[in-house]
Amino acid sequence: MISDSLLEGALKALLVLIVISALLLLTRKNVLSLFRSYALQSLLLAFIAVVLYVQERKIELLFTVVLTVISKVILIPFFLGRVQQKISIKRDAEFRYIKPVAAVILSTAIIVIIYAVFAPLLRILPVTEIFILGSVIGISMTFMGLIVCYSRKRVITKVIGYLTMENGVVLFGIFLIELPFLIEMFVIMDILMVVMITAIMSFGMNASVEEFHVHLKSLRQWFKEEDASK
Amino acid sequence: MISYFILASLAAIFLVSLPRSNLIMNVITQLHTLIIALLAGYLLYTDTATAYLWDSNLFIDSLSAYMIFISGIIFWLATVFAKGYNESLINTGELNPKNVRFFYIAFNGLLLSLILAFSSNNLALLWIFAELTTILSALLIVVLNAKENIIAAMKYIFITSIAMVFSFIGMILLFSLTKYGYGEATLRWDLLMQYAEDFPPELFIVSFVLLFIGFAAKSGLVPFHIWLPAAHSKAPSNVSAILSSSVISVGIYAIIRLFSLTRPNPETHDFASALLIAFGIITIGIAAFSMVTRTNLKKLIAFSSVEGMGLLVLAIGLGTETALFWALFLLGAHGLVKALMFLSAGIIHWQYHSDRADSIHSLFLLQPLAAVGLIMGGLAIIGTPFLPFFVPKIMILSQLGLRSIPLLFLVVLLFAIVASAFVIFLLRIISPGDDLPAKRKIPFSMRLPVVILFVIVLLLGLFFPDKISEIMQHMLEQLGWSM
Amino acid sequence: MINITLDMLFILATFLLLLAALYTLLFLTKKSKIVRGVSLSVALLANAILILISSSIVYSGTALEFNFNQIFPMMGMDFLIDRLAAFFILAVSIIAAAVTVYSFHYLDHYPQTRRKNIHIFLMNLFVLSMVYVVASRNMISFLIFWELMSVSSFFLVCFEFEKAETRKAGLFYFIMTQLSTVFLICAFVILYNETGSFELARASEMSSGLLSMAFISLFIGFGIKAGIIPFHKWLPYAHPAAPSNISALMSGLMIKVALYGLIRFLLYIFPATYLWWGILILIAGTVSAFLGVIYALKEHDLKRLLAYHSIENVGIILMGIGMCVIFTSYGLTALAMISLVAALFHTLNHGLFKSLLFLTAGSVISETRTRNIEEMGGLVKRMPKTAVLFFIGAVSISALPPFNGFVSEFLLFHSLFQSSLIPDPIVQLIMLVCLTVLALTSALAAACFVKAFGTVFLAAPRSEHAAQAKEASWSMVAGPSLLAALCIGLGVFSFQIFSWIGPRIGYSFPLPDMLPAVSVGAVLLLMIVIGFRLTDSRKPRVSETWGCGINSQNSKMEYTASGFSQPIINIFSFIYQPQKINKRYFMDIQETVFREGKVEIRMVRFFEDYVYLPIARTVQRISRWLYSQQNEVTLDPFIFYEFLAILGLILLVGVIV
Repeated sequence: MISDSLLEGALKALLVLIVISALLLLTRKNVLSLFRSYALQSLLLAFIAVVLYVQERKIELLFTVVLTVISKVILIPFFLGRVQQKISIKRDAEFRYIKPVAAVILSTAIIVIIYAVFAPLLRILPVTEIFILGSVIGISMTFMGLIVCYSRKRVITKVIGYLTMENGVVLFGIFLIELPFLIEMFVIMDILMVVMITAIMSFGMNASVEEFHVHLKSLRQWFKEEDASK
Repeated sequence: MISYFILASLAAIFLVSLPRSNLIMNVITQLHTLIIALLAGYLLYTDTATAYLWDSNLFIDSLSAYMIFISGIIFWLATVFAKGYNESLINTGELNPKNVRFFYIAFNGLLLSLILAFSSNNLALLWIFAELTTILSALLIVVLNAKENIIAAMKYIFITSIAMVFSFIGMILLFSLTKYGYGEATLRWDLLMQYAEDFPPELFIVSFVLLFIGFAAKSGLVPFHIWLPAAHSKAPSNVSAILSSSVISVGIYAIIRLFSLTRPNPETHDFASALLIAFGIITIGIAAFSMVTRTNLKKLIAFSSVEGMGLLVLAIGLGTETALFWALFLLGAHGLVKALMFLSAGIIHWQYHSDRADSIHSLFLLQPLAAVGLIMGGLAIIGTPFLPFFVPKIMILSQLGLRSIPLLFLVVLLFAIVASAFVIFLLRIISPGDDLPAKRKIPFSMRLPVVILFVIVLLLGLFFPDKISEIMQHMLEQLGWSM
Repeated sequence: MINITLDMLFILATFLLLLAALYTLLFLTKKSKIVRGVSLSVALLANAILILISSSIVYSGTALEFNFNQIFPMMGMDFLIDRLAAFFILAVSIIAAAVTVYSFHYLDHYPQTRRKNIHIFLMNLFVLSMVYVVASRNMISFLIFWELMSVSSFFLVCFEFEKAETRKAGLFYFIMTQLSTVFLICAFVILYNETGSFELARASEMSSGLLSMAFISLFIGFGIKAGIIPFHKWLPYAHPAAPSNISALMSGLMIKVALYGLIRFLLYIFPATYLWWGILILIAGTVSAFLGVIYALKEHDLKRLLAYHSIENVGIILMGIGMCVIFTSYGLTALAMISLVAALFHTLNHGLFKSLLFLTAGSVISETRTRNIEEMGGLVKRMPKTAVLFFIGAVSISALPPFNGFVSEFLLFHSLFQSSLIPDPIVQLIMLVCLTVLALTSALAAACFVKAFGTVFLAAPRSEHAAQAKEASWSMVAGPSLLAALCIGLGVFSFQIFSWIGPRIGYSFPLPDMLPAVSVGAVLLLMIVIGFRLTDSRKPRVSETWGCGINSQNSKMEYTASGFSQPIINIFSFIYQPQKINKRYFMDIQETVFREGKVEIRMVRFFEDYVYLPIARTVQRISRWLYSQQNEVTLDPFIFYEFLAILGLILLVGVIV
């Protein structure tokens, strides 16, 4: 039997790593390395779930592990990689509102704020300190994903930001309470659809200006023909 | 009972996805929507007791039936309208003929996901199906393959999905509250209603706020409203009609349920009430000011939807039985009026190929029906007597007055700005232009829904049958607001 | 045998009015004049019944009660017609009857069939809503019909919406009516909060702060609709833009309905009234009366001139109401009563002669096709009947005996003279100043109508259309004639009327009996005319007026309206400040390519330039700015707002919980 203190140490280490992975997502400019960071993050999440399973022996946690590995470590990064090849964006180097360094500082501030707000509240529930820490990091990660969403220009990076937010929620969830398997299934399916659709639509977004004007012209042509036919 | 709804929808989606002509797809969709509307209407009329399905994860009570009924009617009218309108869009090249099937699949799918959202007895299911409605609506917006549409759909998906993520955190929190309080973790509405009394108010408030964020974005409350004017103005008019009347109602529906949940818990209730009132007034304010200088017809109507949602949230937040009674009535009436206005805007688009005020003129000469529809809708929204908004507005305002007179003054002043914005716009588009373009003939299928909605709106304002009031009372009772 | 009661008859009459309205909608596209004729005849019948019912209530004083709660369960449709309401319904139905007769032919010169039918529909609806506003016993039904009145009159003003000027006027009017409703709703809700019901019944004790708040709200709300300065600006825009029959209804009736609301709330609803309210009303009335007539003097647009006179007369009526409140607060009930009676009588009188003036002005305008009085002239020969009717209206509004305007202003003067009974010297002083201003106002009004009548009807025609003008058709003479007859009758028989009212309110009115003097005068006049006719030479001498030696005289040499009003304008030149306006228009938004320029010298429109437009521009600027924040193409800003909002909410929760 593994001792509790060891498990707790492992959890703490994993939490630190997962925060670092979120910071990587905030600062990396290369799109491919963004995908890899995301896959890594999801993998860390799965590890956390495994550790928690060892501690609590709840079957739902194993479901979470399986779902996370299949969907977030394998499927989504693969799909995003395909999309990235198609639209051939290599780098996303533009930042709005906030530069990477400031983003890191802001994230730290957010972790502190969320801790200050949520920790006293969560102590109402009968959970241990490490669980509270995990939940707080989960919510903070949601915010970090949100920062990615607004500070990065490319849609594909925004999708990564959204996925990070979702990972934050899962982190929050596995520390606080296990959701029924079916619900998690459905949620993952929803997320998958959002990712697919936004990624596909980003083709349209990135269509060049010339193509767009051609499209407009064809529209105008239609009008003219119709006017003439009247 | 619910299984009939789901079966009908699934059958329709299946039939539409087989290769068929546009007309047949339209007829199938019409049948589907009509069946849904009639079934829900029957449920409403007979006051059938709450029905459960699938381990009590799905249920239909009066409120669900009411929402499904309104959605069914508007979907039906939008389908009838689509028959002629899609043709026009294909003719002008805005709609790719290949996308028509895709349109009908998404359209039927959207109705199915709405039905499921309205009949989920489980908060998590509601979350899931609400997300699904977002995705399907976004698909309906990008049916028109223009870049602006894609951007609008992007705005829609990102803004609502991001907010819904926070909703999910709130949901998990609520879930854990039931687990640690009762040993049995659940998100079922009916059970939550029983447990809510003993939730620790601090955590309950946090989870309410987080849940509210998501559904506020779904219903387009400021500051999560940006997607609404963008998406509603870019979508085809019949899609705008269903977005503005049914899809944003999902958010309001969830807020009503959540707010009723807080009722046994006084501390949470007071906080939630203040929060909703604040959001409502800010929403009305921003929307009212944004409407004044609008030059795009559909944007104007979309902003007035934002304003309508603000009013609804304000009314819900007031938290008295009277206010909620009228909020429920207004929810349906708002949908019908918005559908009337967007469909009229569709006719105008058919005539002028544009929604912009500088290309629309001499409206009375060219499309009197659209002009009458718009004026009727506008009159209803600004609260003209003998139209459906008047009594609800006065009643809600009198309830607001009980809280605070300065706030009342502010809100009424904002209503005056909304009314002026409508009149400024309407006077602009009926004025004569430099040249008189040829009058385009409107197919019967496009005129019929506008006429039907016109008559419904008029009758609803003139007569308030006891039956409606009974149904509303029934809903209030089931929500735990006995009168 | 069915026993027909008065309330059934009343419902029947209003139902007929509704039927008359809906009838035209039914035959919307029918070109034939018969559709409108039938509708108007039915409306006329309904108005006649209403006149009978309301005069019987005024006479007997037994109130009428009924409700429509069965048909409209949620709207609180309770009605009560007491003497005050009946008096206003009487005024409404008399004037509406006259306007209905007038409308038989008035619309003939407009080409659009459908629009004319809708016009008749809305006109009947408008009258109906005014009747029911006055009859309402419940704030909700008051508001319902008030709004219906506003909306229907808005559409009626927009009758000729092709003209940019009309659209501007319509928008202005609409915004003002909305504002008026805003204040009314606030006042109603304050009252509802205190009393717990929407019923229009005397409220029990209220805190004086809330009561004053309710009063201020109501005063502004009704003041906007009544056209009290500084809320008057819509009147001079809306009246010229509307067709003349509508101007007559709006000016003669609608603004009176607002005054009815004020009187009803002050005297019947509020548990108490305060001295400062009275002084406020009195001063507002005096300012409106004085500035109204000052603006009217400068005006050359016939209908706008009449609109400014409406402002003046509303001011006079308000003075009466204000006096009533002041006297009540000192416990001088008899004097309060006489002021109120003066105000009410002037309300009726103004309704009569202002509608008369607007209707006759409408006949003149549809013949000359201009509203500018400088382009009229010489119409007394071409439209003699209209001229006589306009003359009667002008004399009445100038408050000359023996016409009705004289009687009500006389009563008002009488009550102002009683200021010596008030102990407070400051209030006394205020009343004396108001008295002086009222005297000045009456004199200026008379001068203004000398100008108006002289320029429109006398001398030679100044334009081609004026030269070819023809007498208006029978209905356009018959309608105003009814009003003119009442103007004379109410003046001549005023002594008899008031000696009937006097004992009932315990006050004898100090009015001269005008009947003998007038009969003697009339007989004398008749004899003189007959004498002249008998001794006339049979051959008229035709020659040119001596024109200081200039041979070819033409209409350019006539005394103009501007010339006539110049001396008075010189005296008040401190009010009329001229202003030069340069406007430049560009081809592009960056303002580089000049398109056209406009220079204009006009009076400073104080309220418009410094009150209304700045507010409107501010709203517009806020709107543009707000929208520009919401209209970016990229997603980032919106997600950023979302981030801030969510973080803010969580912080808020953290602070509160």
